[in-house]
Amino acid sequence: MAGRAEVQRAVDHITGTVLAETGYDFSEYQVPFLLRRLESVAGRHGLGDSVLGLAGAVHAGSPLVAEIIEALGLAVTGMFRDPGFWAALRRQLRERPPPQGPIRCWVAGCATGQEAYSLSILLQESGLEDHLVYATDISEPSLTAARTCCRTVADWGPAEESYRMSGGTGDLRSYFADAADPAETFGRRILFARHNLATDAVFNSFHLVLCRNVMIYFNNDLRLRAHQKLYRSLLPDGLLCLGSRESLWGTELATCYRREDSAERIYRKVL
Amino acid sequence: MQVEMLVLAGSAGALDSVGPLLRALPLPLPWPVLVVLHRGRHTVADSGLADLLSALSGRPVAEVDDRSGWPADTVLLAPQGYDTLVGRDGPVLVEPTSAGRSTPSLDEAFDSAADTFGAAAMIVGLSCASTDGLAGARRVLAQGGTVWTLHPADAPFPMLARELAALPDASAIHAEDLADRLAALGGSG
Repeated sequence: MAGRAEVQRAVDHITGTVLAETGYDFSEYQVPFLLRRLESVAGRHGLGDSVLGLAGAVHAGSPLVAEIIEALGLAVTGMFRDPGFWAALRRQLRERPPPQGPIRCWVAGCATGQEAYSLSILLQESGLEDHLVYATDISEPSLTAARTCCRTVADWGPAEESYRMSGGTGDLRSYFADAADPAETFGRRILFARHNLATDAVFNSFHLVLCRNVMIYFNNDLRLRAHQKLYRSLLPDGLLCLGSRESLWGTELATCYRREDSAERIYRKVL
Repeated sequence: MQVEMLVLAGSAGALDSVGPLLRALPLPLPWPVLVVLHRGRHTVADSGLADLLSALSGRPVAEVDDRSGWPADTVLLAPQGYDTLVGRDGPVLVEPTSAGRSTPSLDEAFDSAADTFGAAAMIVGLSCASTDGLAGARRVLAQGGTVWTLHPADAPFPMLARELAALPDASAIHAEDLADRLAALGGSG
């Protein structure tokens, strides 16, 4: 078995090459995650299913770089995915609606956009039609897909099931099918833009921030910096929504928030 | 056999067998223990399964949280809706990349245990209605780690057990012996 230092050098070489070639910085991602995804690339290329083999094949100009970015940035999302969370957010907005006026939201790490569309629909159904969702991601291909994803849903069954489980009582498909131009309809409410949570600055203040299952991939230092940005981005009384198994542990921000739901990780900024 | 990490894994039908196995583990736990059982595809914030396993085993069992580390003397359970990777400092949660397969993935847990702990990784395959875990078990063996499986004759769903039992250097162990063999591991940490 290769030693830990040798494996780390191989990972560093690969992430360093990817950074130099493309500007995508994965150097502060969790090592077990990097290993699994890089090994899958190595396996597809007959490199012994090994990050060491992959490191030997990765160099400036290598076509492997694009494949590595795709593997590391592989987006997992879906309309109303994790319906328990969306149901809890519906309750939260009903019981304590944000102040009058336009509601500003940020979906950080939006991948191909389904969470942003889900949020916009949920806000509409919660009587908060006047909203703007900033949906950001580091991946330009993901953002391109996000801008048109409502026209490319291959199988509405799971999305409709999740929507109903989240408390939706309307017809999910009608938000897209009945609109003359879904992209135009949502375009007034959702703004897709490139933003890197690791390196880019805070860019607005928000009533609601969704950053679900993004920071699980970050090492402790990067996760802390990202949490600090999210905190600075939230308005007083704003809501921070994390993934089902995420928390504020280790961020020194725990006392700045109050958990608003006993099961889901929805936090309100109180300090 | 030097063990520094133990992963017990199977599909949902393996639940009945996990409790007695956890109960048999030496105390204090000499190494981290992760239980991976296939579960539904929707993420559930609190499934109650950890409490159930705790009641069945008499051991503290907690679902993995992001940054939970490896808490001393607590068995960790891979949560629903994620794959759980084995890291040196604790489990690492990732989102499943393939919508079609069972989660949490046994292969991902086994593979990462092999990557992280090498020859000190030990996995125990339980009842499982698919061959998820087979590739990961091969990786564990390739790194010099230890692979045990519940004997296929004792597994309600023996698909994985049959495959694991056929691997060179893997051990197929009957249900009545498995708990005793695990209990005897106490000195190997």
